Amino acid sequence: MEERLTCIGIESTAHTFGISVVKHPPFEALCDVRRVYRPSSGGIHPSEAAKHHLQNASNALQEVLSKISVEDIDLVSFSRGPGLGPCLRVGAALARMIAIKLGKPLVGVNHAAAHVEIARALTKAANPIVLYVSGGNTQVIHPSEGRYVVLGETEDIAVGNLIDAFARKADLGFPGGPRVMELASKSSRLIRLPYSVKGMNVSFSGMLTMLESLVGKEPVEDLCFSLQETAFSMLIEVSERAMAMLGLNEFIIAGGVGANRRLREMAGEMCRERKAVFLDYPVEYYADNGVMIAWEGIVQYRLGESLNVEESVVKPRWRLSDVKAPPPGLYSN
Amino acid sequence: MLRLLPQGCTLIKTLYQGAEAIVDLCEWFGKEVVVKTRVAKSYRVRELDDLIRRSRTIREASLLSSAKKAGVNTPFVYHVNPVEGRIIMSYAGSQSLRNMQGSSMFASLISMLGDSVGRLHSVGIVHGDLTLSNVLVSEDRLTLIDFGLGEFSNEVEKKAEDVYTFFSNLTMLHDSETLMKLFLKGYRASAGESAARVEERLREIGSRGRYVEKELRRRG
Repeated sequence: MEERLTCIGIESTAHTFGISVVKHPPFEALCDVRRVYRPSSGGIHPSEAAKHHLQNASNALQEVLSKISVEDIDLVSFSRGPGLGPCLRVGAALARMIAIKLGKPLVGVNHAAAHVEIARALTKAANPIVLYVSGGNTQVIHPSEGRYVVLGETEDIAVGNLIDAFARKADLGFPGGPRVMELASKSSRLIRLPYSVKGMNVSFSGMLTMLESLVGKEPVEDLCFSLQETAFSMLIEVSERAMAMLGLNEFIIAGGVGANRRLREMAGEMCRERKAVFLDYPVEYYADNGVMIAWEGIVQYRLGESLNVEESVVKPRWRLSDVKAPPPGLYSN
Repeated sequence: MLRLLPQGCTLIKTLYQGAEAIVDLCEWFGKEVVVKTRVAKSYRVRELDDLIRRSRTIREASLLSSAKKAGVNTPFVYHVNPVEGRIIMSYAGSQSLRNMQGSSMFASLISMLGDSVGRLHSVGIVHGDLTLSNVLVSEDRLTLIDFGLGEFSNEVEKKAEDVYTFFSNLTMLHDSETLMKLFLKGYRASAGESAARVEERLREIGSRGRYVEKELRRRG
């Protein structure tokens, strides 16, 4: 059994500023503090979001320190990328400060890998296909032989981006996901939208263009319903193709769009039909959070990763394929 | 996965079961035929599922017969039922180019395949999943199967990707460089004026890192 580690993790890639402390083994989230930036209009404005994070860093940290004792911390991790540069730098600065102050190792983690690993830890999936879906990412991933193999991805915009951009056009606010889901549940009328699957890749820009042109001409409930049904069918189809190709029977979803009930319902149905298992976990961990960053800090530290403060610059375009993956099931409690 | 075989059809054996379709070898009015069924997916709403299966079935059948018109051997389409997502076609045997590795004919078959793919591209057909398994051989004739990921397109990029997919299949073989040259020799002879641009794009694709991963996903 590995030695017990306690890691404080800081998330600040986009709209969420989160700090959490995770202990392992066994896996336990000691606290999970989140401050979410809501733009007054439009989508995320990077410098505004960074300002929000800066203004909240101190009170969020105080809340964490009221729940745990500083002496227990062995490790400090932060979201190093991919994400918005100005936002990432706020989390990085706070992490460096804590690491220097406590004299503890600093680990810079990949945000996408953190999503995948928290899902694996919570579901105990041994060898899954992962659908990673968020505002900025859409990928079908297989963690294999120490790395993340990206089997399929979007050829243009992310599915979360499709939802947010449509929601903005239809005046539904940001983020668009919750409102779109609520309105979609009131309709069952399918409007034909471009269904674009090529091998294991998907494309959403044609669908967005068409949806935008229909705002005001068709009932918004029908547009939301059609968006969800079409886009999610595409995602589940490519996921199933990946499972069939590699002969795998575990499926998990990671990332904020996973909070959508309809997407998870379709995932369950696809798996049932092919006698595979869809492994679900509490919905609050689909969205960005500090718990996954703290957990990934522990995972990467055990794989031998850590950073000197001097070389801990953020990596806004860090690709998942350049990250080490832990062997299947190694840290699943 | 359940599929209903058409009347008069007796299952001999299932040849392939993918995420999207089941391919069965059947007896049908005293003839051995291949029945490809795109199965219904219960996760999709019925209306969308019907639409997708219907349009893909029609597209595949139409690619198969258009390819034939371009002089490329493909299975004969006997019957198409878009509502059931089903195509009944002739059986071209089980000997694939993959099984022919090491045969003395292998090199000349590769060159013939280059010619066939060139013909497809010259009339704007992209196969979409060119692998050694998707080329059947009987005597000295090639039959191209599984146009399930194919499309009608004249884009240089798509044609180059088509060839690239096949080449990534060859890289695992001994003497792959020579085989690629032979393929291109056949291809050049039939692909028409766009051949040079496709070859140029092919070299460019090879230098893009992302395609190392694509190789993996195309193997399925």
